Amino acid sequence: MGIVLTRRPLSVATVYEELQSREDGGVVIFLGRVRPDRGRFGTVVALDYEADAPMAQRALRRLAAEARSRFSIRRVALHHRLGRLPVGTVSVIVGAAAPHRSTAFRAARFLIERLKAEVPIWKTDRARPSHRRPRRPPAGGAR
Amino acid sequence: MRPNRDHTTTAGAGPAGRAGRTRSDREAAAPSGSVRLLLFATVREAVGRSEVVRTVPARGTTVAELLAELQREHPPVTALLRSCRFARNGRYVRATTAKLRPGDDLAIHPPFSGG
Repeated sequence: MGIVLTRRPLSVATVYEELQSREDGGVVIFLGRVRPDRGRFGTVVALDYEADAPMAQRALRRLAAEARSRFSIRRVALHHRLGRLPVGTVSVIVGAAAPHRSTAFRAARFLIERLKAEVPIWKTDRARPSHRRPRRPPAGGAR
Repeated sequence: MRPNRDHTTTAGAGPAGRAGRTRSDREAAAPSGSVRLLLFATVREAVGRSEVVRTVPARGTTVAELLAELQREHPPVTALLRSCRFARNGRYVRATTAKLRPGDDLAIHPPFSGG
């Protein structure tokens, strides 16, 4: 059913695969990426994502089931990445397939909004200080 | 060291003579045991750890009591806890009434920010 919570890179191709069906004429896939917000401590260079994994998995499954019944569709996908993600990295992909585009758009919107509100996942800013702090690689270093 | 499995008759003695962490699969056998607090995001950063183990009596203690203890040790969490939700063994509970018994996990969830 396309529920993924992983530290590995996300794949649009995999999500698209999961949404394949002969009946559905509309497929909407949304990607969320890390943006370089300005925070209190400087410009964000990365976000650390963490989850309460067992509860997050369950919340994602519940959300997928709810979307399918609410929009009468068969295929949805919810993929979320965890770990340290630099600006520009894809952190989340949601997708919905429906017979017609309007339902697919509404279902995808529903999925991303509810995911943000109901799934125990958190992000923490990793900022580059804008003043004269010595620059050093982000804690934990490159992976 | 093997935990002492003898039945103890007093409940009020507290964890003073505890020799090691008791595995609490046999709740009745131990006067007290441990619960795990699972910390995330802001609360994890304020405490400096992702997991804290606490001893509770076999009859249990409320979530609120345990949180008060955490606040005494880490005052910065006080403000954070006001906006948190609490899940005992994967289910959300009310902090004022829900009890924790040996072997339970309590996850402390700050407001979510995934996506």
